[in-house]
Amino acid sequence: MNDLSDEYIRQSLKNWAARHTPPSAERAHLLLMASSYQNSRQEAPLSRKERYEYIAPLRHECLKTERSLESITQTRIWWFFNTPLRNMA
Amino acid sequence: MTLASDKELVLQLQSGCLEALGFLYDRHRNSVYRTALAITGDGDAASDLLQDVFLRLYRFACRIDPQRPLEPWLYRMTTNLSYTWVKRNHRWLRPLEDLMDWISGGDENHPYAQAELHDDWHHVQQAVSALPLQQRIVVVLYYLNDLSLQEISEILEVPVGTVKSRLHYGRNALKKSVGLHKELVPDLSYERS
Repeated sequence: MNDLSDEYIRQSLKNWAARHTPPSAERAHLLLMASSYQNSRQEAPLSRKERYEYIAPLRHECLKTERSLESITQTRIWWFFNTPLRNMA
Repeated sequence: MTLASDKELVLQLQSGCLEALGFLYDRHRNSVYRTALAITGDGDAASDLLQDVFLRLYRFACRIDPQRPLEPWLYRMTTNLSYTWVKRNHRWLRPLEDLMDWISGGDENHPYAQAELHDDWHHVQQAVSALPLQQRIVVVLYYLNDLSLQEISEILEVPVGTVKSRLHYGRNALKKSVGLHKELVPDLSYERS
């Protein structure tokens, strides 16, 4: 049998919980971790620190590519604004 | 979303199908996240635990019996990991974190947080957070997830009598904290119809 206080507690908790949803990025992160595990067939690291260290090299690779592209772009922009071409544009 | 049952998805997961993990995640993420959040009271921890639960589901899929419902396995993993997290998280750190929040203004100035502070829901959740951990877990599983005493007993691997006892003390503490009137609360028979 449920009494009033049971219902009150139940509804309050449910209403409070309904306001909270997991961050949307978590799904992609989970699938990335799972696919890394699937590819490596090693023990997937589970602690937050381990997970960061596991993901960090991947991020580093991406950043390296982005940075190299960025430097080329910046050099071209610098060259454009510091040569007579600027006056011709 | 998919119309495939949990059983079919677990079978796919056992053959290494990542898509099945995504579908199971979409289906159960809210209940796992909210259970972890209600037990730990920490959003970041709940996100981490959500990841851990589903990573373990993926890693140990071959150990799961597809003939049995998946929810009890998920709840067991969530409560176990939440229990470990709370035990590891030093209690003396919390007052320091609260102090830092107070100094920095915290999130309490946010209109959303202000609205929540004035809700009854928030008071009940605060009261649940203040319960001893074992009572809190039983209260969350019983009230938030609508599990029966028998189901909770199987998830926590403790006798039904122990679940009843924890629920009884947890409920009484909640009544006191939230200020429910005695006349509204007759002696309790726990079995739900």
